[in-house]
Amino acid sequence: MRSRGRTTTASAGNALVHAVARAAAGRSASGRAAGWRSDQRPTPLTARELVEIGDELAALTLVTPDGTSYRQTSLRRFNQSQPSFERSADGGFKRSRDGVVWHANVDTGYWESADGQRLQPGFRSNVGWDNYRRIFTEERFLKPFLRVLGWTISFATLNTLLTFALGLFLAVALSWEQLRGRAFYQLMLFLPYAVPAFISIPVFRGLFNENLGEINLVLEQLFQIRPGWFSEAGLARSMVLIVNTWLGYPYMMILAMGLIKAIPEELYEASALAGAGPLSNFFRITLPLIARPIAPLLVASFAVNFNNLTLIALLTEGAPDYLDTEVPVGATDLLASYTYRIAFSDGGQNYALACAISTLVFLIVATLAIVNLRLFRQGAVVR
Amino acid sequence: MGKPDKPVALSRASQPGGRSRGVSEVLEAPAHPSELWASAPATGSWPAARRATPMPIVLKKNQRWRVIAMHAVLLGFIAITLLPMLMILSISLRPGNFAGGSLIPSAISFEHWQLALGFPTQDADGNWTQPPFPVLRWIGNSIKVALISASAILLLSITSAYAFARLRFAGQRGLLTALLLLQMFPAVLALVAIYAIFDRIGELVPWLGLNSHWSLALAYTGGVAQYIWLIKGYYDSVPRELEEAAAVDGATRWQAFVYVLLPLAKPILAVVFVLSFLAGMIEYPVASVLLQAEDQLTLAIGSRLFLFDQRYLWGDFAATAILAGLPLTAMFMLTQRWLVSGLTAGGEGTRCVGRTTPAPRDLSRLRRARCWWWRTGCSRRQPRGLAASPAGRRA
Repeated sequence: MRSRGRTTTASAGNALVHAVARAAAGRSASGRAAGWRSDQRPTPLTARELVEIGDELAALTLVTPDGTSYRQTSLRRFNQSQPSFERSADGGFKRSRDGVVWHANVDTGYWESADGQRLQPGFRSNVGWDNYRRIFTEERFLKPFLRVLGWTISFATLNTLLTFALGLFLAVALSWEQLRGRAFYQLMLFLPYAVPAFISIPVFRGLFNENLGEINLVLEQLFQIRPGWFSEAGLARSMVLIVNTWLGYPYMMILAMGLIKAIPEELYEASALAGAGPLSNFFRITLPLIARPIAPLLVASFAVNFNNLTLIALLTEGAPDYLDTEVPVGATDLLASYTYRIAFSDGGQNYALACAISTLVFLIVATLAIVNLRLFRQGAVVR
Repeated sequence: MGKPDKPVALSRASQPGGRSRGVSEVLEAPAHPSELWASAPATGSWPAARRATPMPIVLKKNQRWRVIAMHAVLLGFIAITLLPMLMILSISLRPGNFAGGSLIPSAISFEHWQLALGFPTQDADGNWTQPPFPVLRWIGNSIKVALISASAILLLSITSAYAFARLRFAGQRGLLTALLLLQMFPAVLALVAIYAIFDRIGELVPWLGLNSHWSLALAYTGGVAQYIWLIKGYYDSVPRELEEAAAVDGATRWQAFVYVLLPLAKPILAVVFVLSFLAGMIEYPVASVLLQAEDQLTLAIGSRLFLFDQRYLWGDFAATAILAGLPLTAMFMLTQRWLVSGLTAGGEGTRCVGRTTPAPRDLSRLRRARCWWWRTGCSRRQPRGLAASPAGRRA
């Protein structure tokens, strides 16, 4: 089909669309030269029909005699278009707009021009141990890494201790035979663990909201203070600990209850004969006897909370962010959420660095696991 | 210790009919000390989990107040911990999308529940609100992915655990330890790798690539190592003699596995299925990386979308949360007792009391019965508690 040098590209495009569509739809498609019958004016296809033949239309390239090529740019439009880059003779890319040639730089992983400009995205290139080296030598990576590592370790430790203490206290209370209705209490106290985390964590996010949340409303009425739970580092970390303790104490409670049941009652009767009170009972009988079996479970809880991405992602997303770092990192970021932000946030997708950090974290966790195995010999292969 | 208090209450709260709780009351002491030992359970396991008749013991004068104080503390603690859940309930029934307000809503409106279930609602001005997200579809997605992964996990772990427990092959111990160590590597750390791997796979096999439920189920099935350990431990506690007896009767290894071992392992199989199903339902990080299109999301990542940064749709989120959370919570609560007992009882917890070796039943009857869960069994079973079993005491 020839274009008669028409006024606008658009109308030329439209005519082409009609002709091509008709050809694709199987009717007679020639132009004037082949002769339309006067009563057979071409009618535009509906959008639906165009979508149906969309793949064929997209693959078309129409070349006019003077060399301009037309490609489909929208459903009903063909416009002048040509490829932006072509292969140059020395294996690079040449941009047709201004003739700049880009060569692949294997060291940096980008296509670069002579004056150093880069094309996004790059490609994978092998840099050896560079990423690991950068973590430990470059200041801008090392500082946040150490900060986040420190917070992760303290978070996991504190959380394990808090959930254990709370769970143990409740377990001791629920094992006290003088207390009636223990089944009811156990049911109610287990609920925070039974409710899925992806529901309860956003609820806490709303409750701790600085301006509208219930907790700040109550605190303001009682004590006239309104803590900035999401804007101050210390408060944000406390909030994270509070929420995770709420989520985790039922598990420790159930474990401790099971282990307390295994303690022979004669010991308590003997201590009663000796005149011991509840505190002595706890510190001299209960705690030492459950310490051994619960130790591997505490280490396992530490390992799990070391990588507790769900909590941070749903509760604070790492906020409040540090203002003096180049990479996006916040005061409540754990190592796992730090790598998540490096890899998947819009600020800069550095998959390689994220993977390097993940491997380091795995080494830490694997060391913990081996220590756990060696010291406590749980689940050793027998037979 | 000072003046001894007057006796005494029993050391058990087993005072029937609410007898007077004064401090000075004399209750029946056992007639003879030997009665104490005679009341121990007849199975002869010592120390017994709990005595039948408690030993009389002296209690302090303030015992009653301590009990009341403990009740108060527990009730107060429960009120604090359950506050978020009550809030979520009241938010879902409140008109509008506000988080604040009193616990008991002044006006009740079901609009959020309607939107969560997929019906458009009409407010007082006559404006229609369309359901913002396909919540029921998300629930269906979650159940689908969790079921697929739980079934795959169950099948894989049953057979792998059998290999580790009953067969001998080179590198057995090393492989088992390696499984344990690999299980320590959480999927959370490997998110980038998981994304890259499924991206590549998707280029070859589209239905197994990104944004697909099958790939998500495959990723979840990767957590099979811990269940292999669990089931292997259980198999180890089932005496081999049962399968050997079946072999004597002419069963092949497969028949011994299916007709003898699996029926006895039913508790742990149920535990594994429920645990992996629940884990699949509430999982967040891997799903957030692999699923992108809105109607493919699971409930865990979808419900987060209600909370736009600038405009929290609290009411709709609350209704969705309860709609999703209630069945999961109910499942968890119903099964937790039985999960804990299933995990702690172990194979040695269910022993035949009537006889120590199973009656030799002929397998042709089994084959005729065509029920793979037919037990070769014992006439009576007596479950033992954690205290009595040697495993429990050693732990």
